[in-house]
Amino acid sequence: MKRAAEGYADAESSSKRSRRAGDQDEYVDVDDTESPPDTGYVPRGATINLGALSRKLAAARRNADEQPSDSTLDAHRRQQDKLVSHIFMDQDFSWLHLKPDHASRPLWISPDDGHIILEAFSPIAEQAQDFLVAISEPVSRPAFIHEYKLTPYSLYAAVSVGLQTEDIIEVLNRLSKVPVPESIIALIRERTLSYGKVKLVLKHNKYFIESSHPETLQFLLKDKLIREARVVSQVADKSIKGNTFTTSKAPVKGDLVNPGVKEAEKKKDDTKAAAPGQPASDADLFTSVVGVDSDDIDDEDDNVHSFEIDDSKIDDVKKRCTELEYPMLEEYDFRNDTINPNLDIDLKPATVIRPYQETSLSKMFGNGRARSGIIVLPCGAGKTLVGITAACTIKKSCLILCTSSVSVMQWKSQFMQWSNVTDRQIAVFTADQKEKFAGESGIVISTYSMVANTHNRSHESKKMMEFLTSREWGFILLDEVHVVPAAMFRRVVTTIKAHSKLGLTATLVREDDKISDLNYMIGPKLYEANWMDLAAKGHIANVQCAEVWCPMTPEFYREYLREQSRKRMLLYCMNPKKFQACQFLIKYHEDRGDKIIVFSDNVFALEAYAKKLGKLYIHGGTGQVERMRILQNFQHNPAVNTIFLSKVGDTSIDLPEATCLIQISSHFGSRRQEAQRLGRILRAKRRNDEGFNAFFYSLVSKDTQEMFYSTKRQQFLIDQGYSFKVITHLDGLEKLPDLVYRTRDEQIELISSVLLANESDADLGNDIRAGEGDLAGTVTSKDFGLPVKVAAAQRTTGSLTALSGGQHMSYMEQNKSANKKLAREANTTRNKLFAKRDRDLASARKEARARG
Amino acid sequence: MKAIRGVLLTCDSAVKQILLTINEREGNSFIIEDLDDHHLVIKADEEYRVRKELEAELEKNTYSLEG
Amino acid sequence: MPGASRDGTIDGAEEDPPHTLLPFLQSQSQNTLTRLYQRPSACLSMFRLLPPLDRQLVMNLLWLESAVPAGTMGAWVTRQGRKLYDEALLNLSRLHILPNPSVKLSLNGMFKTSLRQAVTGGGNNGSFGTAALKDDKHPPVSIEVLDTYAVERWETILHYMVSSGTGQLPTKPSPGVLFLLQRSGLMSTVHGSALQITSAGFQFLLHSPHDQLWQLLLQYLHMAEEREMDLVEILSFLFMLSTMELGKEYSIESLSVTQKAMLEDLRDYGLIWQRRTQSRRFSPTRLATTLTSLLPPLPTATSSGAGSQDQGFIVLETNYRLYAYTDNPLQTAVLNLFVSLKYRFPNLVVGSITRESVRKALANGITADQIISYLSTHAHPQMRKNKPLIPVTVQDQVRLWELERNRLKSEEGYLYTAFASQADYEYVLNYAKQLNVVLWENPAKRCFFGNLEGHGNIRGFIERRTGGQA
Repeated sequence: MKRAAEGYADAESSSKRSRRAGDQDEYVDVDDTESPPDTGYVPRGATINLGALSRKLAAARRNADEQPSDSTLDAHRRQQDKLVSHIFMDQDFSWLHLKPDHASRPLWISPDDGHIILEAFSPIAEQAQDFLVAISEPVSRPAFIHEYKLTPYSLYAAVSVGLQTEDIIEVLNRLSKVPVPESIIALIRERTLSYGKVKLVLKHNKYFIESSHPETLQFLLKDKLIREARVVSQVADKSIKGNTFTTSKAPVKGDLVNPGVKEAEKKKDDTKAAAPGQPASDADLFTSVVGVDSDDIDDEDDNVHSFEIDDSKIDDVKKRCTELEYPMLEEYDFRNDTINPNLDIDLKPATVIRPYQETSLSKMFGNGRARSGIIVLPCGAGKTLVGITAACTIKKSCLILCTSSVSVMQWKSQFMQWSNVTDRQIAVFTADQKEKFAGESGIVISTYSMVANTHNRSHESKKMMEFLTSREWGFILLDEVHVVPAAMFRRVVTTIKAHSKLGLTATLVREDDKISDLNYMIGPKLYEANWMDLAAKGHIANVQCAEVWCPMTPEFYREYLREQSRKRMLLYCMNPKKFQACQFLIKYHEDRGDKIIVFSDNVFALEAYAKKLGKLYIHGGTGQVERMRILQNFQHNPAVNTIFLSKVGDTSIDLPEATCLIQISSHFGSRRQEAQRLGRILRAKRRNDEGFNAFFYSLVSKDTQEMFYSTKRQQFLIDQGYSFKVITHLDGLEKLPDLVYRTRDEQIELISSVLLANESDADLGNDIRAGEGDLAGTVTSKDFGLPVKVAAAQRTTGSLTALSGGQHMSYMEQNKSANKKLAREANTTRNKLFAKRDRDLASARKEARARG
Repeated sequence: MKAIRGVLLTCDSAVKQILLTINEREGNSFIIEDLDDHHLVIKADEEYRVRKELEAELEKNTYSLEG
Repeated sequence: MPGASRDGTIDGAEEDPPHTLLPFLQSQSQNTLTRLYQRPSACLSMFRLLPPLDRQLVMNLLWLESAVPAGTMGAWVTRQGRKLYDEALLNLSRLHILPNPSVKLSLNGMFKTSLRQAVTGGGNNGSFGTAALKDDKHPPVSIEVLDTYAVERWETILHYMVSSGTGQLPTKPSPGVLFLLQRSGLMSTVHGSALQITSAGFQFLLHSPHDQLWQLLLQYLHMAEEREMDLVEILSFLFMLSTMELGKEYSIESLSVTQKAMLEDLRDYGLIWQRRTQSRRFSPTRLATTLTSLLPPLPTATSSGAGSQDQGFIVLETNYRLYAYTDNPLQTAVLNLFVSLKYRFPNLVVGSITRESVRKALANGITADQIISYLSTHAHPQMRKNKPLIPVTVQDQVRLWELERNRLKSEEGYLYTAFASQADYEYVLNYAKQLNVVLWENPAKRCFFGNLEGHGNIRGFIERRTGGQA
């Protein structure tokens, strides 16, 4: 799919820029040889070289400045100026003219790369932030000064929520200390000219290409593919070509209310826009341009024009439009969809959604239709509820795709918790459960893999896929979009016919940098929350992050330096000093009453630590039932305050009560992983005195590669506003009673065992295998519910007394008889816990089979 | 009794391990005597080079936050 | 330093170190000082330089004719304050303002008279300068011109320092100034090349203008001593300047020969302005008039948007990004010493503190403390909400980067080993210890390491011993 270039390629042509009335500054006319552009027609591939343009303007200005000046001070300054200018090279924008009232305006814009710098302490900072988040990507948002970046994709998102080109420029100008640079104006105009102008709307069961600009439609129709895909209805007068658009009123929100939205909140928002001491005109402008509850967004043009498209050609048309640089916004007029059966679900009365959740939904439903796009919320901020509310608003069949089976179960349970959906209406499609919903409409929850993988489908799987592909879905919800490989994505989007798509994610940052691709496939970013802001308001936990430096013991370090294989990693993980630090932190936080999760990507280390420190653990080799038991103990048993998790803990298991997270080994530099791990505990809201209510420790062995990866991973969080404290020394460590590996002898014994380990023991996440249904890197087990065979791992478990609430934690080596004993006990417990569910499951299956 | 000219190096144990490793790798090129966990005596004219090598080794573990 | 608050703390009078000029004065002879105290302006200036407690003592005694017994005054002092009180007395006695304070307290007669005169006015010895007659040809020079001149001269000096070695070609200060910079160790030449800034020079750049000025003047005074110029004349002139009025013109008539010779230097440093080198009149600039006061010696940048007295213009975030509200190229150049700068807007400079930028500064001789101190001193008012002022993580990290550099310490010397017996070993070791040259020892291994200087002696010692045993 061809899409507009992210970068700013060399300019072939540029349009003439005339002087703008109302701006005090004069602009240098850039010469060009082209005539003024037609409205609605943008030369393909024309992009602006921001850098060259701004340099030219700077040079022109400098020439203008070099006149003899009266003041020697000025001459002196100019001379000095030349001395520092070289430091900035192309990014010396000191030639920009500062407006006289610049002090009351909160932002600067870099002409060179579209970077925006915002004074977050300005009185109008909040509105400015709302605006900037709507038109640009946040880059960093710490305490005082934020940075954002204008990109083609961010501008696409801006127009898609209804912001108009000239409004964007005008508001930027109002907010900016310097007049908006020519290069930026050109970028905005160019990118918003075609983007967001065209919508693909499913209305009354027909597909229409819709636009407020008839000339745009005319342009599109000049293209052969689109023209041939057009459906001309009989009533049209064939003699008038090209003007036979259907014209109707633009859609408005009207009386559409998102479930869960409190009336009081709505009233509050109306008065929010006018900040104290701000001239009314600015506030009005903001409200009309940015206002959350504004119904006027799409009222610029009372009429919209459209023509119908043959629905078998939809995908081709979509692609074509993007190639023509008119990526279509997709909207679903669900209120007027009479063919797809309704799904009668609603949020439970007790369910209330939070302001930022409401804001994100209003961006999606702002004009009464469902817009496709992506919502970005931090881990633990309640993305699930946003998705559920959207489903309850649209009230049509919806398909939810997750990254793993456990995630699927989680979504189902959340649906049951927050909405009044019944068991009959909701079905699960995973490796071992293939259900269909009873009735004409319903909800199916599945994984990307299940839907996208084509080969080796079991018979049941195939039938399930037919079920999914043969119907029209009102709504498809794509959870954790940033994780899914682009190719898999494409398959999903082209195989499943959905009228609106919502992507949910904690971060738009992808490790493989395929961010632009997938965004255009789903839609523009509708909303992005501010982590620090949410933490300040108590919606997510306030986290103190720290990196604990553990020196390597001489023996371990010696071996580390000599080892070149993967076993290096094992050496810095199994560092005795790290064991000690871990032990210390666990004791410290247990004493404070915290619930602690210790993460290790490496299973060998995980078991070693857990056993040495006497704690329960879960990795891929742990049976499903046992996992549930351990987790329940963790949640409810006051004696079980620390558990060790391998990568299984990463995406899926719901751990609501953890307040402290310790990481002893982790994947190389994945920023996403660091952010997600934080999400594990970001739900914690139990307050304590220090102002922080959650803690995150990353233990790294000093002077090893681990330091490198650790710093790399933290970058994302640091840009969100978190700071990583470095702890080089734990006070009182030496005095810890029963400190592990205190003596040299013990340490040497440990290193022997490490050196004896296999190279494969150094692998990360090797207890996890991508199974049917689960994405690589997330919770999985090959046969759901039964343990996977892990190299060199020994299955152990906490003693039974411990699991039932006893005081002692002791580890027993697993042997056959104990295995049996465990299984026996397990069966009895299982019956108690899962009997009802099994019964429900069985009856649902029965029904589905009866329907065929 | 012997008096050997050299340079006394004082450092933390990690640095010492790195120096020992480099020395071993180069076939015992600069260490005259390994005194204890935190001290070494090396050839006087090798000091500059050894420092540079040490720096290079330590550099491998550092990641710059520069965006 | 008066007025300079460190780390954002409130100006605690007891915390400030004494003005750097005082130790210099204390090293002068009683005679010199008494001669100095003949001038009321000198006494007044001195008074301003004194710490608050000393000032209070002087004021207490100023109008008394007879002495106060030491015990009587001492009775006013609380137990906690005893130490400070004794220090003040010692200070004043060293300055010969209070001769013999252990017995009775009475101001040096000369000092008393002159200070009284300074306070009450009167006397006509011109110690506060002789006003110049109205000049018919030219109107009095404006303060704006004076400020411009001072700023230009001063910044030229600093900019020259900060640009050395960067390949840029700034304006050169006068030879006199260059000589001073070199003598004070702030710049140096290697093999007769152009002057390069030194580690001390880098540290100098991070100081406040007031501190910088006095650092240079002290050097000037030292050089004057060596040249056997009359120190009293020089000091008097400086003190006189510090009591003069900005915007007024003064005549050179009443200046001594020594003082007239100083005019050129003072012009070079931006302390005075003269229409022509041969002018019979001069005007002090703000740099001169604020020498002993708390006011800032340079007009603050007008377009920075900060308050007029506020020096704070730097915002430092937890993600290591730095935003400095400045349009002053010199300030920018100073930031460039330890910050990786990226963008420059008309009133803002943007960059990051990175490992590379800090290491570069450390390599130039700047310390982590100095960097942190600079950031604290110039913290933007918005940052005052922070506790502590500079994010702890950034502070820690800068210090950690500094520690990184010091992981390996080295010292040249000799390893003494292969002793025949334990007794031999201990005998030599003890000798070496007496000489204080032992850097490392290990009885179990029967060896020790001694520094270079000690080797000759140790070798001699051993030879004598073995020679004796032969």
